[in-house]
Amino acid sequence: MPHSVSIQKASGWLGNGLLRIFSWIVFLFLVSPLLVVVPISFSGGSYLRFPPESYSLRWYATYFGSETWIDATLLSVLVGVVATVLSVAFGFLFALGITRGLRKWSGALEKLALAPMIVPSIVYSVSMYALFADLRLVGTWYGIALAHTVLCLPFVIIVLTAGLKEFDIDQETAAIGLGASRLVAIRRITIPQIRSSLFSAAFLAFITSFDELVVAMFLSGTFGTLPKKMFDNIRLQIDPTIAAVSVLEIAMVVIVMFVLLRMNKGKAGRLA
Amino acid sequence: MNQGFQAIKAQAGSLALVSPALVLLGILFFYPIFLLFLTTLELENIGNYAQVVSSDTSMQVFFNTLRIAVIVTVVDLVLAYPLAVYISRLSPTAKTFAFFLVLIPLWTSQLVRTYAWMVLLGRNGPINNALVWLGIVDAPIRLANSEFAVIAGMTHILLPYMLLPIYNSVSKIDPSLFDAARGLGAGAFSTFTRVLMPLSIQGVLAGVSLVLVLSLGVFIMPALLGGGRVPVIALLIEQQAGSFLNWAMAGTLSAVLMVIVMITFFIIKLATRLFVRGRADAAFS
Repeated sequence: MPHSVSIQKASGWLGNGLLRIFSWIVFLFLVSPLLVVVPISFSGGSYLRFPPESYSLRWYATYFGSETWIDATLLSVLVGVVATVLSVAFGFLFALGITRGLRKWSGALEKLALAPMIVPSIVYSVSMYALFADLRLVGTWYGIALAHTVLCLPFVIIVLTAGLKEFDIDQETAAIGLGASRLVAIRRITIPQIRSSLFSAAFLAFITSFDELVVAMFLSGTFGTLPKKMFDNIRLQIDPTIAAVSVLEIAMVVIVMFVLLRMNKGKAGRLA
Repeated sequence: MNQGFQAIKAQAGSLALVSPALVLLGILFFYPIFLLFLTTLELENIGNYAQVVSSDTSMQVFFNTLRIAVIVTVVDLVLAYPLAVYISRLSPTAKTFAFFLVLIPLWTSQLVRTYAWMVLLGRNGPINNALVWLGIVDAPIRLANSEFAVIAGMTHILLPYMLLPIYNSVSKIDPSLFDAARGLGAGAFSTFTRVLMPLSIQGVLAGVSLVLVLSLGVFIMPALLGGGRVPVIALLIEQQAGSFLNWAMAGTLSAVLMVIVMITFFIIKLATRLFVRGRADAAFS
């Protein structure tokens, strides 16, 4: 039946065309909101208009010249770095543990460690506020860093467990067989080979903390992290400083992404 | 004997490796949430549950949250599924580029993305400009500060969470199955319902579960894009704690939200088990 085959071919071709068009519309939907912020950040006027009537760098100058913005940024960097170091350290040990020896329990343990992902941040915030009020940790930066460590841990564990599962464990066993201690084997054989996973995990942990609003809002007291400052700015005055901050954050993500992509030898799928 | 001892030693070593993270989670995660539930069950607070259930306002807020979460999940599924199929068929270079387009929004701060939607939907924003220019409306209309804005923003922000699990399942399907289906006379529709869909159901359910759970607890988008017109549970909790300093009520509402999230999560878990088993049976029958 040549006739029906040609119809099938035509409909397949049409289907693929439609799929491609639909997909690019969805890509546009994903990316265009971020692009809209760029011209606003270079706006010369002080209120929101698209496209801006004149262009300037004044909102970048406002950000870098403002003590409150810079203080908030530095605080978020501090909290983010501490949460990253802690969550990667704890997460790495955990991922090693469930990929070595604990075969029977590894599934259940992994599920347990991923639990913070499904608890809404507002619920976690209210719970942590009660605990930290008792411990007098509300209003301290390290209290926020500790709470953020918990929120970063699932992402670190997902990335590192995947990385360690890909790694050939016999190499580690061979090193031990050749007389290396387990610690030396892990440090000299395993860590160098999962380096890109470690960097991805660290980056994910850092942005999880750096962008986190709700927990920081509940636990911060009088001072504020960068997301809290951004939130207040959007709610109360909404001048284009927030657009300048947004563009700087997007630029940071794009740059780190290029670096990670290179480290993963172009396998973008691994970053997901 | 010696081997058994080695195995026990390895087990103990691994236990030592996982315990720091477990202790941390125990103290800073499971304990405070347990404490939250316990506090709400104390005699002086337990009445709050009755108050939540009997109050029309709070029940309305719960239903509203659930409704918005379902809409966002359905729209994201409709957008993400074809996109996942499309990306899985791309060449490696194009795939990298596609992932770039998906991961950049995912990794960008939710506040930045919410702000971007405020610009996009603003009175002088590009969408209003386009509508006026095209003559569809005479003057800019209110797009921001509405439920539409909240749903649009949430759909955008949560889309990667739907896309990535679905892509994961779709990309594992052997492409020759589609040729086989076509060769056996299946059209596009039956290839979809009998090959593609059954083999990717696990990813679909994982994406649905993730997006549903995340949208039930969402705070930033309703707070900034809703303009006070879109009540959801997270805002209600923040209001009780932040404005009224009624921490007991905030705790009870949090506990109820947590229970709703857990029920949702386990229903989908159960569905996954059913569907995936059904698939295995079908494959071998």
